[in-house]
Amino acid sequence: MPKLSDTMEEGTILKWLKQVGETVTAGEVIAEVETDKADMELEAAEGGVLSAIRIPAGESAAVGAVIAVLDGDAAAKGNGDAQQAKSTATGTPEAVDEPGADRDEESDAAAAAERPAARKPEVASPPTKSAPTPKAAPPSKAAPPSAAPSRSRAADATQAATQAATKDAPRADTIKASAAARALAAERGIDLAGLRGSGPDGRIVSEDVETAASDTKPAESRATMRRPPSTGGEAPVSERHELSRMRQSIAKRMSEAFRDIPHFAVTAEIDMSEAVRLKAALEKSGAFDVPVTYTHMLLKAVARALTRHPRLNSSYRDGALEVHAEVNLGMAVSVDDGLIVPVLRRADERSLADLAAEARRLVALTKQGKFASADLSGGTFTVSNMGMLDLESFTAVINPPQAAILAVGAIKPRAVVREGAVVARHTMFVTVSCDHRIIDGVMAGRFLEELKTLLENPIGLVVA
Amino acid sequence: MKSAVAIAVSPEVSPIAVRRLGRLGYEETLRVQEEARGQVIAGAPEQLLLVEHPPVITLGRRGDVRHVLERRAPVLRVSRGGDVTYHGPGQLVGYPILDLNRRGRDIDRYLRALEDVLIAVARRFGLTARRQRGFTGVWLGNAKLAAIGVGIRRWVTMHGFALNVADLRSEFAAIVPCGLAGIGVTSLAEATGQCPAMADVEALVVDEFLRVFAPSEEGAG
Repeated sequence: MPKLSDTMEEGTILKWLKQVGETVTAGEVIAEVETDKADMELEAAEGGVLSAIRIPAGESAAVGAVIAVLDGDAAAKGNGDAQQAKSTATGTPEAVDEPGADRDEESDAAAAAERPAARKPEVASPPTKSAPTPKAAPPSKAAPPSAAPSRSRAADATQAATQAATKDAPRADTIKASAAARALAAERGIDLAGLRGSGPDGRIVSEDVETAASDTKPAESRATMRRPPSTGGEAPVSERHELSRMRQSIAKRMSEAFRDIPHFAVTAEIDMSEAVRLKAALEKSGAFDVPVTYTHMLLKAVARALTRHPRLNSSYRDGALEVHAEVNLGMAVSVDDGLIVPVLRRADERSLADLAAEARRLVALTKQGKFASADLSGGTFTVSNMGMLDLESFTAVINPPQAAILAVGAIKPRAVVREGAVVARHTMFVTVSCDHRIIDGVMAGRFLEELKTLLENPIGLVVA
Repeated sequence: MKSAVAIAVSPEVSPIAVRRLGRLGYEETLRVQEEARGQVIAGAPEQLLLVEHPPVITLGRRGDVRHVLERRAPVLRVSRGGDVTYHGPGQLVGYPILDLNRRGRDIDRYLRALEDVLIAVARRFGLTARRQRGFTGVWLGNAKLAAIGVGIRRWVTMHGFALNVADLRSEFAAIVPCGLAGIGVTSLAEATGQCPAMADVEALVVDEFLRVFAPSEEGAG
C-alpha cells in the first residue's frame, strides 16, 4: 500500500484493474486506492506479470503492506543487485510509488506491485517461516515522515542492498531499530513491525518499544481490523460488514464526541400527571388540528428552558464559548441501522401547535428518507427520546458541536411521595449529558429544574 | 465552450495558469481536465480550472447511489474520492491540475491546503469556516460550505472543490451530501444573508488559491 501522505495509516483498494496472471506494462494503472477524499490511480513501476493480489478490492491495508506481487523482469534477473533494480524502477518517474523517492527505508510504501525487484525476494519467501507474514506485520508503522528524496536516496540504496543481502532473514531485520530496542522488543514480545519509530529517520528506539509494551492495545486493534481473527482466543466472527456511510459517520462523530468532550450527566424525575391530564383534555377539545403528544410538550418545554438557560444552548469551539442565538432542537430519530437527527428550527418561537406540526413533518420525512439536508443542519441542542420503550433512564452522547443532549425515558406510573404519603403518579426520568468544558453541574441542575417546573405546570406550554 | 484565458500573473510569481471556463457541462469539463492533466504530466505549467456546471449529481468511486434521494438532475459516476455531491449554477467549482511531485507528494497535505484556500475565501466574507477532522471539506458550523474530492494519477491532481455561492439548499435536498446523513449544506449567500456575485467570488478564490499554492514550490503546506 503506497503511502499517499505522511499521516496516512491505511488505504482501501477500490478496484483492481488487472487480474492475477495478467501482464502489466510499466506505467499502466493496475488499481485504484482510496484514502479520505482522494482517489489515487496506482501504476506499475515496471512491466511484469501480476502473480498475486493480496488485498482484494474493497479491503483496506496498512501503509506498507503488500497488496500484490508483480513478477517483473528485474526480479527474473535475480535479486542480488538491488541498486540496479532500484535504478530500473526509478526509471519510471511517473510511478506512484517510485522506489528511492519519498521513502527512506524499505518499509515505507512497500507495495510489492510497485517494486518487484526489491520486494520479490521477500514476498516470495515461504510464509511458513517464523517471520511474520507481510500482511500481519505491516512495516508501515516504522515509517518515518517522508524526507527529501535527495537525502533519502542514499539511505535507501544502503537499505535495499542490506535487504537483498539478507533476503532470507526474518523481516524484522529490515526494520530500522536500535540494538537495544531489538533486545527489548524480543524480551517483551513486541513486534517491531508494528511500531512507529521516534528516533532519527524513524528509527525505533527503546522508548518506542516501552511505550508499545505499556500500551499494546492500539497495535492489537489495528491488527484485528486488518484480518479476520483466525487463531486462538478471539471469538469467531460469523459475519463482517463494511459500515454504511451513515454508520461510519455516526461512528466517527460519536467517537470524537466521547473522546473529546468531558461528559457528565444529571437526572431528574418529572411528574407528568398534569401533562397526562392536559393531553387528554386537548384531545377531547379538538382545539388542535394535529394531535399533540408528550414529545411535543417536552420539546416545547425544552425550548423554553433553553431560552432561560442559554449556556445549555451553546457550543465549545476553539477554546471559546459560543452561545447560539436560536434554539434549534435536534430530534434523534431512529432509522434502519442508524440515527438521523432532523432539526426543529427556532423551536422557542413556535406555538405548541406549530411545533407539533413541524415535528411530525420532520419525523415523517426522516423515516421515509426524504428529508432535505437543510432539515438536518444547525441544531443547537438534541433530544433523544426513548419513551416508547419501557425503560427508566439512560445517558446520551453529545452531538457535536452542541454542548448538551437530553435523554428521555418512559412515562409510567411510579410510586412517589406526596405530602408524606406514597402515591402512584405518572413520572418520567430525564437525563441531560453536558460538556463540562462550558457547563457545570449546577447549570445543568437549574436547567432541569426549569424543565421540571414547565412540564409539571404544562398549561403554560399551551397558552404561551 | 468558452475560451480558456490565463489571467495576467507573471510566470515567476505564479506558475499556475488560471482558466475560467464559465458555464460548462460536467463531462465537457472532464475532458478539459484530462487534457490539462496530460499537459501537466508532460511538464506544462500547472492549472486551475474554474467553472460553473449545469445541474448534475455526481457519485465518487465509493458513492452510494442510495444517497441520491431524488433524481432531479443527471447522475454521473466519476473518478474522484468521496461520495455523492451536487453541482449546479450558483456553485463555483475549481479543478486544480497540480503536480504533487513538485509539491511534496502528500495527499493529505494537499486536501488540507485546499481547505485552507476555501477557509480564507470564507474569511474574506467575514465568515469563520473550519475543517472538521475526518470530514474533508469546509464547514460553517455543522453545514458544509464547500465540498472537496480529488483524483490523482502520477501524482497529478484532478477534480477539486465546489464552493456553494448561492443558496442551493433545495437543490442539495435531492441527495445526502457526501453520504453524511445528519449534516446539511450552506452557502456564502445563506451565511452572509446576500448572494455575492460569482465573478467576485471567483476573483477571491483565485487570489487565495495562488496565495496558498503559488508562493513557492512548498506551497502545499
